[in-house]
Amino acid sequence: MRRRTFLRGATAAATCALMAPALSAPASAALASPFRPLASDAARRIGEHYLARNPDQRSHRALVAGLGCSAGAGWREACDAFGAARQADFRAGRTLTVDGWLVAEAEGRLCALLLCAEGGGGC
Amino acid sequence: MLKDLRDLPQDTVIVADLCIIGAGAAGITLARRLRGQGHSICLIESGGFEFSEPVQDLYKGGLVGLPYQDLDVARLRFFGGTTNHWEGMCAPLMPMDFDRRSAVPLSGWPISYGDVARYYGEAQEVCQLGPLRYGLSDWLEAERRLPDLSRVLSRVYQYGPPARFGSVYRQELVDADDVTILLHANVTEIMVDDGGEVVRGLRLATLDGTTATARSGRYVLACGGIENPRLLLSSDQVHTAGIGNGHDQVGRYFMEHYEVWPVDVAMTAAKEKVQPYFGFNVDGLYIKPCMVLEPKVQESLGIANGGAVLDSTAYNKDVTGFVALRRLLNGVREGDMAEAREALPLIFSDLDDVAQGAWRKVRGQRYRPLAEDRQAVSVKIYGEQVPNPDSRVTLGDERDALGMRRPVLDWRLTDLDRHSGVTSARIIGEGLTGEGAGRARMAEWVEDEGWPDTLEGGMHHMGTTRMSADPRHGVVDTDCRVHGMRNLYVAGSSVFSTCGYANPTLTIVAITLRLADHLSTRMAGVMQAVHGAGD
Repeated sequence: MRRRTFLRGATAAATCALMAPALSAPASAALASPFRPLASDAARRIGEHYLARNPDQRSHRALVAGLGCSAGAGWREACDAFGAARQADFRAGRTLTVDGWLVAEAEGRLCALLLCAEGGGGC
Repeated sequence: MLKDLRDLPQDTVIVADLCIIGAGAAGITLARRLRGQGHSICLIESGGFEFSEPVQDLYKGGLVGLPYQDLDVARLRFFGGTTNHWEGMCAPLMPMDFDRRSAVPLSGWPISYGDVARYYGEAQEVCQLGPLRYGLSDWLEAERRLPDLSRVLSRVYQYGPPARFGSVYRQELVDADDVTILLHANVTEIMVDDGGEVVRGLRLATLDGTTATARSGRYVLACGGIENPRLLLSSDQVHTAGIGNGHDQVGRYFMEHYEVWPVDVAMTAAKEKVQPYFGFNVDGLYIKPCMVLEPKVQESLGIANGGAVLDSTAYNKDVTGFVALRRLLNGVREGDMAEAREALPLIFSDLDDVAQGAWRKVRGQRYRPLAEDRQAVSVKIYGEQVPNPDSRVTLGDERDALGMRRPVLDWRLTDLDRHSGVTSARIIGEGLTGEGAGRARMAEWVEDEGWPDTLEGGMHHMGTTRMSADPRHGVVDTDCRVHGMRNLYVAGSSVFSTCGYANPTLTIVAITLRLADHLSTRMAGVMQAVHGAGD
C-alpha cells in the first residue's frame, strides 16, 4: 500500500469522528444506516487484516464493545469513543502492522466495523 | 618532553614509573591526570603527530562475520588516536546499563553507575562539552518539542568541537617534565616474568628497525578495543594462550553500536517542531535529541538498550540539497560526472536547504537538514549490542611489517539485538503516531530475516577485555587490572562490560579518570614506602 493510499484509508477512522455529529441516527440499527461513512479500499484492507487476526470479533457487537461502547451503540458513539481508544492503544503498544504501517487496534476495529456495515468481513 | 624512538640508540632501555601504551583518548587522559604527582610517565605512541600511511598499515586486519568497515579505516594510529576523526558525539551511560538485566545475558557491571558517574563532570570538560545535562528538557523548551511519548525518555547527545585530543593536549604533555611522549614506538610484546604475574617490560620496535625496551612499575594498555586484545594475545611467551587469557576471554564479547533504520514516519507535526530533532545549537554546542525506552519498559519487553534519533529520510538517502551539492563537488573533483549529473537536479529542487547548509558551514556549524511540512523522517537506532562471546577478535595468520599477527574481527549480532532495535523503533513510531505527530511505517527489511544491507557499526570497539568480578567471565577486575596480573591494567572501551546506547568516548574518559585515581593511590603508596625505607 502506498503512503498516500494508506494515509487516506487510515484517516477514514478520523473522518468518521468528524462526521459523527452529523450522524443523527440513534443506536441500534444505526451501524447499518445509509449515513454510515464509506470505507475506502485501504480502510477495507485494514479491516480485513484486523478481522483475520481477530476472527472472534467478526460481529458488530464485538467490534463496538471493543471500542468501549455499549452493545446498542451507533456510529456517533463509536466515533466518540474512537479517539481516546486509539491514543490509548498506541500508548500501550496495542497495534497491528498492515503493509508495514502501524495501526492501532481501535483503528483496526473501526475499519472492520465499516467493512461489516458494508456487509463484508464475514460479520 | 618528547622523544622519537627512531632517534634513540639501538636497544635503549627506557625506564619510568608508569608506561602507557597508546596515546588516544584514554592514554592522553591518563597521562594528563597523573602528571605533576612526582611520577615519571612514558606515553608510548606507534605513530607521530601526523597521519602516516606505513604506520596506519599496521592497523589492517581481517574481517569475517557481518560486514564491517576495514579495520584501518575504523581507527587511526597516530598521536590522538581515533579522536583524530571522531565526530565528538557524546552521552553518558545510564544507571540501568550497569545493572543486571534479566533479558541481557552477562549484563551487570561489577562496579556501580555511581563509581563512574562521579567522573562524568570532569570528562565533559576533557571532551570539551557543555554542562552534564542530558535531558531534552534541559535544552529545549516544551513548546518547541514534539509531544512527550509514553514509555519513552527524551534525552540528547552533545557534540563537542570535536576535541582532537592529539592537538588539544599535545603541548601540555610535551611541556610536562614528568611525561615522556615516545613517538614511533610500537609495542611488539608485553614481557612477563617467569611467575607469570608481573610484567617486566615492553619490547619496542620502529618500522625502520630500531628496537628498545621500556620498563616501569606499572603498565597500562590503552590501544583500543581491537589492539588491546591483539597485544595480549600476541604476548604468548609465558602465557601460551596470551596474557589474561587463562579462561579464553581475551578478544571475546566484541560489541558495537549497530545502526539501523527500522521505522519511517510521515510527520504531520509542524515543521518548526520537527526541526530541532535534526539537531540544534545552544551557545556553540550542537545538541541532537534522542529517545530511549524507559528502563522498566525495556525490562518488561525483555530487550536491550537503544537510542533513537529522528533523521530526515532525504538526508538518510543523501538527497537533500546541501548533501547533493557536496556530492556534486566530490563528483567533479573525482571526475565522476555521473554522480555530478545525478546531484544537479537535487540541488535545484532543494535550494533552501543548500542555502541553509552553506550558511551553517560558513558559521562553522554542523549541517543539519531543513525540515519541511509533512516531513518524512526515519527513526535511526543506535543499538546496544548485547555481550556475545562469539563476537570476537582473534589473531590471524597474516603478519604486519613488524612481524606481528594481524587481528581478525568476527562481528556477530544476535536475534536479541535485532529484536531490541526493531522494538525500540516500533514503540517510538507508535508513540509519535498516537500523539498525532505523524504516521509510522516499519521498514521492509523488518518483515524479512536478518539485517538490512544498510547495517552499520559506529566504529566503537568495546568489550574485548571486559570488566568482571570473576576471571571466568572477563579479563580485567574492578580496578581495570588484568585478572591474575599484578601490574598490568587496561584503559578504554575494551573494558566495558556492556555498552548501553551511548557513544563510548565520554565513558572511556570517565573510567580512565577513575583508573588514574587508583594508580595515583597505588603509586603514592610505593613512593611513601621507598621514602620511608630511606628514613
